[in-house]
Amino acid sequence: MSAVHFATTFATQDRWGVLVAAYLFLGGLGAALIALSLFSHRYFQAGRAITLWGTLSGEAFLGFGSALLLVDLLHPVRVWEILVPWNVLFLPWSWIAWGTQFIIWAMVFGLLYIWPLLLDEPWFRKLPLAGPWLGRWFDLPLIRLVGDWAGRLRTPIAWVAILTGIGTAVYTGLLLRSFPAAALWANDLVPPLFTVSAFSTALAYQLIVLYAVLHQHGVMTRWYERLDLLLIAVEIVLIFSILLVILPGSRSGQASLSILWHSWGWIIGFLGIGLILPFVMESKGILLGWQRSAPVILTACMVLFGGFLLRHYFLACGVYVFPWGNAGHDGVLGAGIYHVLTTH
Amino acid sequence: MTKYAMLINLDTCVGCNACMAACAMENQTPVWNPDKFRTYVYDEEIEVGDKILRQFFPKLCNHCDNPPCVSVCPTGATWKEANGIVRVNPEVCMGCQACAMACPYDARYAADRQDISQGEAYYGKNFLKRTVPSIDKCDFCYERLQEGLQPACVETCVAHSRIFGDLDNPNDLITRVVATGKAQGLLTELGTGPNVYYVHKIPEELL
Amino acid sequence: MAWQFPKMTRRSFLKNTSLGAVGVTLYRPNWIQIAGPDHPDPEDHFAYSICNYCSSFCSLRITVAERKGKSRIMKLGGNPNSTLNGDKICARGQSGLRQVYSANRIKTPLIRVAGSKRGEMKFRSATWEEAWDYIARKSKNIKPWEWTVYGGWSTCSFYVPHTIAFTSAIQCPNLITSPTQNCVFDGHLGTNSMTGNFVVHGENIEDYENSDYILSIIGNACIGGVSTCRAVRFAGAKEKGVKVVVLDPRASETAAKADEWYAIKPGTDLDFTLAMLREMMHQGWYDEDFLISHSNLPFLVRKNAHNAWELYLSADKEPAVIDQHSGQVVFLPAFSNSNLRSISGAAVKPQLRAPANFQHGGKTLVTVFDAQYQELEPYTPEWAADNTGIAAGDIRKIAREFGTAKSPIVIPGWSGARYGNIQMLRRVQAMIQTLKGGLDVPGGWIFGGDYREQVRNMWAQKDNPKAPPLASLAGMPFVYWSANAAANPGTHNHGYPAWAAVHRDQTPKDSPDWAAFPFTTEVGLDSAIRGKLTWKGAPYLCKAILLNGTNPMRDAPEGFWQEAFTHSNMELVVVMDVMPADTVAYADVVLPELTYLERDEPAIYGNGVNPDNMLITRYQAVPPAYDNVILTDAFLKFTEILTGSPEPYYQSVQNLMGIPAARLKALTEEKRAKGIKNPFTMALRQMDFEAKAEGLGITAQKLDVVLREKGVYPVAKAEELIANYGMPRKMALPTPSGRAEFYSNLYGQLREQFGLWDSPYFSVLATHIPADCRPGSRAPMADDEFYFTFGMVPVVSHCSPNNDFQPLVGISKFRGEIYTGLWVHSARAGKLGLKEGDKVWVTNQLTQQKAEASVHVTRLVREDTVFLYSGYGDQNPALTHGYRMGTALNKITPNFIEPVSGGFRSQEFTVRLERV
Repeated sequence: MSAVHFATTFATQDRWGVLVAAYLFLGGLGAALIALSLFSHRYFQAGRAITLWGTLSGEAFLGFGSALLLVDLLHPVRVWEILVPWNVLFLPWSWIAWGTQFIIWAMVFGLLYIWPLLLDEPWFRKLPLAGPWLGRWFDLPLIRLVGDWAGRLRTPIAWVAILTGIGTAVYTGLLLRSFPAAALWANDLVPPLFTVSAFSTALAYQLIVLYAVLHQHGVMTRWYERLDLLLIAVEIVLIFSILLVILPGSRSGQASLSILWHSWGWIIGFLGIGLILPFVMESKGILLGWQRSAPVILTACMVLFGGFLLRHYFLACGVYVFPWGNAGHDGVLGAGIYHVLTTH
Repeated sequence: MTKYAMLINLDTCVGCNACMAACAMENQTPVWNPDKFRTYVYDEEIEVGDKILRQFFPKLCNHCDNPPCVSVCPTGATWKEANGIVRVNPEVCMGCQACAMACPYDARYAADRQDISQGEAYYGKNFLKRTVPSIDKCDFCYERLQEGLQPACVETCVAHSRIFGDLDNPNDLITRVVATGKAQGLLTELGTGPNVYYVHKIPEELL
Repeated sequence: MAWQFPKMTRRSFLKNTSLGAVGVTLYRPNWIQIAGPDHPDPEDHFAYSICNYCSSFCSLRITVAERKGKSRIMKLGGNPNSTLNGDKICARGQSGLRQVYSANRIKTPLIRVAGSKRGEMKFRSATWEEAWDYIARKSKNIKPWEWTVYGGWSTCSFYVPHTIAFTSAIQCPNLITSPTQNCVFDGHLGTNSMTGNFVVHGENIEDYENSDYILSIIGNACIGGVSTCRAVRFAGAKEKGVKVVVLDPRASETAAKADEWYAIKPGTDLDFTLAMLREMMHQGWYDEDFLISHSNLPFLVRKNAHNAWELYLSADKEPAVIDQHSGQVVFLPAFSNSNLRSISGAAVKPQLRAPANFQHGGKTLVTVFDAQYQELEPYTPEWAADNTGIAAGDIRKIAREFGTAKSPIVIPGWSGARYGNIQMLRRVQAMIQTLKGGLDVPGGWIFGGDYREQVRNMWAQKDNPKAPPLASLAGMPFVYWSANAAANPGTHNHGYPAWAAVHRDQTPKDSPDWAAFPFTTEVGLDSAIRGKLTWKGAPYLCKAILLNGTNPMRDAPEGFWQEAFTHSNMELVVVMDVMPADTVAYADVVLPELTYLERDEPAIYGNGVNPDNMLITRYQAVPPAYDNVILTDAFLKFTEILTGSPEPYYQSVQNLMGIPAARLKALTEEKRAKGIKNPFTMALRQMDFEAKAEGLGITAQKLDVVLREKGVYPVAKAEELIANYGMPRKMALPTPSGRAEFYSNLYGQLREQFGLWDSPYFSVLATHIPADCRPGSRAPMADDEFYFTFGMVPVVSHCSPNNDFQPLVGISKFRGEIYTGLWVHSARAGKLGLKEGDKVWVTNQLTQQKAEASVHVTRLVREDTVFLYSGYGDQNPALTHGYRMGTALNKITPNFIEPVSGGFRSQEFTVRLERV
């Protein structure tokens, strides 16, 4: 009696498309910004301006990214189920459950940390909606008590935000890691890659703020540049490890490689503009320095651009290898919408 | 205990697609969208030696022992029952589709808001089984099993190609076929532990 | 809940199988009746019915739910109490409830919008009164013989007697049934010339499960098409390890299940089969005892004045054999199932072969066997190998394996009007099957339980001159009666026979549109419409046509019907249907027919080809959604409109069907007075319940209870029916001689009637008829030229617009070009630069008809052949889901017919492909 014969189909997916790619990008960026800003404020004497810029931007990115995701849900109102903290106790294997908590607490504790700083900001009290309304609110005894404690417990608050911020960045990678079918996702280099990328984009963002908005070029700015260069180098190693070592080892991986190496957007957009060019530019900046801030700002923009492309291409180029297929058929395939690459 | 599983005899499947239609009608799937069936029968050209032959390949959720779709779910909307069936509660599901991404078998699809409203007109407002958008998938016709019926696809399979049974029952036909080692699950190297077995031909002495 | 698995192990099967062993063979796999409890959810209830989507007639169990005072059909399934299909039905059957709930369904009568033309889907809603009135006005000046009644699905399924009675009532000699010659008459006539059977829905089912060798030649419908009742038995066979051999130019669903698939050259199946028959006769691979006892192979024949083989008969038309014991010529009864008693009652053992140069009465006589043997001489496996592309060694192997198998089956085939020679092919297949004695035995062709009962009743009523013909004729005798009635000018008071007979008589026999035995076909309709026919000096026109549930615009050559409907002589086109099929767009008035799920049937029927005899009917599953009519009530109203009174219909129903008119009329009036819809149908139903119950010795109430609860009433098991009434071993076949006819009296009679002594189509024995797809051309095929083949797809019913149902549309879209495209071999496609999905023009090289198709590149078809699944390509935009999906096959079907039954030579041509 002979064995079962299988046909083969290679397929990518477009369930998680641009909205999710944006969420992963903004989530990583935002969470890393909060972690980075608070850490810098606590331990690197970062100024209040850059701290507020970083943290508030991080909150906005995290919030907006999450809102994008909400729009993408089939049944958004049910999202409250994952907002409650005890959810992770019941579903400890779900990275989304953890990630949601990380995001919530990073945002809450990040805000708590900068609360005292905000209160001292004149523009904050003068906010059109918030000002008059919040103003009354600010003076409530309970709120003042919270603000008091926030001031006193700054370090633990910071660490909660930093750790949950890092956790969020790691979670975006672990999320893909937990999908076993595609070699591009289900390998152990993806979580570190996404984490490193998140922090690299956060640093890039802060550099843009420092150079373009605050015009500060101090010690911390230098450190940020060096750290970003280091992270980009690590990212290059991780990416090429994935491309050259991990992916060739499976049919799914080889199929992903095939798409990636035929994609100008990947080669020029991500590898070129998003990784290699910034590496070169930042190296130059650190070794030889730049005369003007424009190259630094431009480089940082390229890093941000690359950060989005990374997540977009990873989502778009993960390949499922199915042991079946309609003969010669290149269209509709099954539950979910799959773009069939080739059929055998 | 009970461990529900399915055996697919590729020798007899004639590719009539009765299973696809039966499942769709029983479970009120969004038939206006060909991507949204719970089960499919693929129509394949396969190479056997030097010959090119035609083969029909039914596929459905494998109700894995180690289901990646269940671990990723953040709301608990999907879970594996004690009897082996992996189910979805549409009331709880928020529709993030991580489970669909995690499934290596393309077994889950999104029933969105438009599918629900189209379903009202198509299946009758008071008779609609699915009233909220969510992810959907095969559940081995859980409710039919409660009533002592077989899954709709199995019941209607004109060629006895889909065979349903209980792997915890040593006398069950599918248990005996699986025990011969001649039946295989799909993508077992991923460690999912699928419970839908494919066999090229059932040994006559077992029938 | 434990599932029941077949308790019969292979060992016990082998031990128990012997010819004639009663009560052992099941004739169906055990696993078709596994469905669990007999009651659904408390909120739901079951209703029982019969599927409408092909002639397998699967028994249905319908789950109906009640919510908030409304009921709705939730699910269709097979009926586990029926041994025909058990709890199994196919994809079309499963989707059938969509007919009730389709938004595109015809809900009210429709009248054509003034100013629009036939072919335009432009109608306005009308009341029934308006519709009937319109018909009355338009038909005022139309004579009865100027009508044509075209019975489709409903007629074909169960309403043949009611439809014939209707034509009699309105004095209309012209009846077409669809899609007769393509579906059940052309190929089937070949098979039926051997067995004498005829039932619109298949007279036999093959006992695959007990067979050890299954051969399929140019056919997919029985197994892969899909026919559920056959597929379940075939699967049972596969599980037991049967060997399956398929001859098909492409990998059909059946070929996919084969142990050996031979991609035979299109049109050469007859060549193969002749060689196989020759081989079997040469090698002695036949059941001699059976043949000498129950077939006319031992009958003596000689060449007549036309140098054609003819039976040697006595003055009383009795056949002769050579008795083995005495070596003498002995005469046998002209009609009998057995050759073992002479006309004097003496025991006879006929010789299969005559001694060399046997003389009797100054003539050289040989047996039919000898004559056929001679005729087959040129058809060697080598000759067949040259034509078919199958190696001679393989042809010999197949012949040997089939010939030496214990219970081989050659699948008789369905829906076979492809080439001029398809009828001869099926004849030779029947010969092959019958050589092995494989009629009405385990592992052979088994005749349907209900059909067998009808034949038994026919023999019982044989000498009763008052027996109503439609209640006492079965098989070919019914066909002869009906054909003769149509051709006989004396049948109706007006003295006009059917235009089909006039056309036949007024058209030269060598004309391409001449057929000798066009039983309820449209051969000649175009002549009638165009005014080319005359009767007794006056023009014989067809001016009006009533169609029900039929779709010739999609299933017959398109040009033919396009012209028929739009011709200026056609004054009135009335179409009855459920869905807006393409033909509906050509109507003047459209009458909405009640769906099968919403209606009670006018009678109780047999269970299709079920070898067990079970009674079954339809029960309305949900109240009708709209005010629609059942065919029989429409016929009653039509009778009233066309003749002035409904009385003639009551009378013809009594005369032809034996249903007492007075009571029928009284009951109808009574129900009408109570406001019951379709009262005539309900009256017929009540009376049939009473009649059937009386025949069973129970009350009508009890019969109703059983049918409501179980969906079927078992009458007799196959085992006992075959043991007692097996044909031809126990009971005569409905052939002219009562035996299995290798020498065909059917063709003998036709050739004599029309003087066609030389035509191979009318040969009394098997002979060769080549299929010529490129007449007159010996040139090699062009680079873009192919043979053309088509076949049935398991998700669409032939000519039914059920491919508008979204589950089926969804499945077809999922399969993509495999289903809706034109199969082109990858090597040829490569050379022509064609890729998957490319659009091409497909042009029929004989007629230049063309159609657009999408290419499916595949290796599952011969390189010189293209293949298209039929049933797609609806052109009526009212079918919003199936509209223009795939290609309409009949756009390139030529209007060429074969000369016996008028079957379309629907793939006897080549095509060329051209990129759009």
